[in-house]
Amino acid sequence: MVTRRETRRRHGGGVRPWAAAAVLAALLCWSGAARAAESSLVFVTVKRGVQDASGSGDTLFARLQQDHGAPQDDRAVETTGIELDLYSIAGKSYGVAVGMEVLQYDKLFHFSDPAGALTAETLRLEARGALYSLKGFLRWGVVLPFVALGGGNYYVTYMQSQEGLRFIDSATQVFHTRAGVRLMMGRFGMLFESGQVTAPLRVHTAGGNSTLELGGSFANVGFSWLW
Amino acid sequence: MAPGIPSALRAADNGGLGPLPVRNLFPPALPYLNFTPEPVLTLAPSKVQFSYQYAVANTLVNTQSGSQPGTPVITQANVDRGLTTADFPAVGYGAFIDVEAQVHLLRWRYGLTDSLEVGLDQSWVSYGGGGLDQTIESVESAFSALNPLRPQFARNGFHYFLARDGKFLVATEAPADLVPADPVLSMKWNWTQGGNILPAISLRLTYKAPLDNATSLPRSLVSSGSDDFGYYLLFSKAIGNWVVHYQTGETQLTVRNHEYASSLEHKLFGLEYRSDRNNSWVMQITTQSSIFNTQHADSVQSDFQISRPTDVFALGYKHLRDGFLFNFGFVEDYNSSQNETDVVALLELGWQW
Repeated sequence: MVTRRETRRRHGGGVRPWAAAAVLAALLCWSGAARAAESSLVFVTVKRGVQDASGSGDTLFARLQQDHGAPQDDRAVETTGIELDLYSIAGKSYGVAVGMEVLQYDKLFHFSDPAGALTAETLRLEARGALYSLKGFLRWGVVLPFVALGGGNYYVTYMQSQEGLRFIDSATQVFHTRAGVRLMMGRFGMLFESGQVTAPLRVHTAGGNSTLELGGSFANVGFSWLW
Repeated sequence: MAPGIPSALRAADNGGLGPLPVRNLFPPALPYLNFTPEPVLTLAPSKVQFSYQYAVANTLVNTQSGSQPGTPVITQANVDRGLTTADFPAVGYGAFIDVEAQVHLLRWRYGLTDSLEVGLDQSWVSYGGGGLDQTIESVESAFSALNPLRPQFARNGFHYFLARDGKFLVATEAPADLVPADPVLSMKWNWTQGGNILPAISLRLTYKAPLDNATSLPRSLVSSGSDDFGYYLLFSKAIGNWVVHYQTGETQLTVRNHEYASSLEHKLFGLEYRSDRNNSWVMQITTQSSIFNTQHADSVQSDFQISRPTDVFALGYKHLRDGFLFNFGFVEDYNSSQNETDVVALLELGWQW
């Protein structure tokens, strides 16, 4: 039997796009009575996290597995990033924010066949993402929960040693949703968030065409400074 | 402000001074219509804005640098003896573009109603070797980002060769001065100025009308001889002293013999810092699909470089006070795919009354 948790894991475990969009739309459309004067907050956040493209639309890894044997490494990658958030406090307890984020990861993936029938392969992905998002947030004292959706670009340096394939390319059809909470402690704070980013890249090789997913489901923890 | 109006819908100064208004100046894209960033808000009724923009775009592209085994290699010696179709691949695109383009642009905008603005752009383009190569090399070297092609070729030369499937689309080494490009008509419709939560939103439509069929040089360098049109959605949201700009859309091109892509997709993300009411610093990233068609389906990834999306980063300053406007900025490609200018410098002066 497939449990709900298993279903979520298979689908990336992040916030579903329709759910995030519905919450954001509700926030945007909620009129409320404007009681507080508008003000703004600017956060700079340094964050680390894990991004996992397992269960995404990636077909490249399956093809590499078929040609070169089973992957010896976890598909998840560790990301580091820096984010600038502009928070506009529109009402007493809610507001809208825009986030800009640059993130990167670098990982070596090994493929090998224990039986030795297939040639081993090494794939290195050096990826950088430039993401921007629109956030709707609530203000509960020092706690600011939020949902967000946005776009951006992913850039990758792709190096496949056995096939001798090396190129730089970008995925421009990027979409991401996320939910999280920001905790404010004076001028410092913490950020916890998870979500899903899709950044498919078509890879053309002598072995055939396939899709490399540069995104995946992610979870981040960050330390922020109120500018 | 009426107290009954929801805060999300309350008018706010969400427009800012707008992103840096510079279009893609890559030589093969110049004959066609392209996306130009614009402020989201329209001019007030009967207001006129008239400006002169000078932009210089330096480009060095050599698809035949030897990075693809089995294809011809172009060196300075080949350039000196004169390039022929034999220097380019028999299948797919090949380019050697060493060009400095200077674009003189007159822009006119008129506010028709509270939410409607019309415009006309007319530019004149000069092609030549220019004089910026040494400066660009110095600046790129300072950032450890020197284009490795630059030291291989003589500075300030003018060589514009673009081939497809063994035939030249463009082949010239004759500089051209002040060639009139096709006029571009535009209309901008501001749907909302936004509020404390909602962004300002506008729709912009543009149309390029050909002056003639542009079948011969030098007109064919700046005109496709046919009409193009584009549609773009513009968003901007002010948060404190910052204004966030997001613009996206598509340009439909009329292209002869499928020489180039028939449509271009664009998106811009920009951040404007308003140091005061009259002055802004702007940085923006523009991503655009390639003017070149995707090559043959059985190609490997390295063959697709020239048809990959292109990205540029722009940094600029904008000033508007008492009807006088002044803009300057720089554009640099940061994801070079041999389908983009290396550097663009921009200066604009104008008046609004």
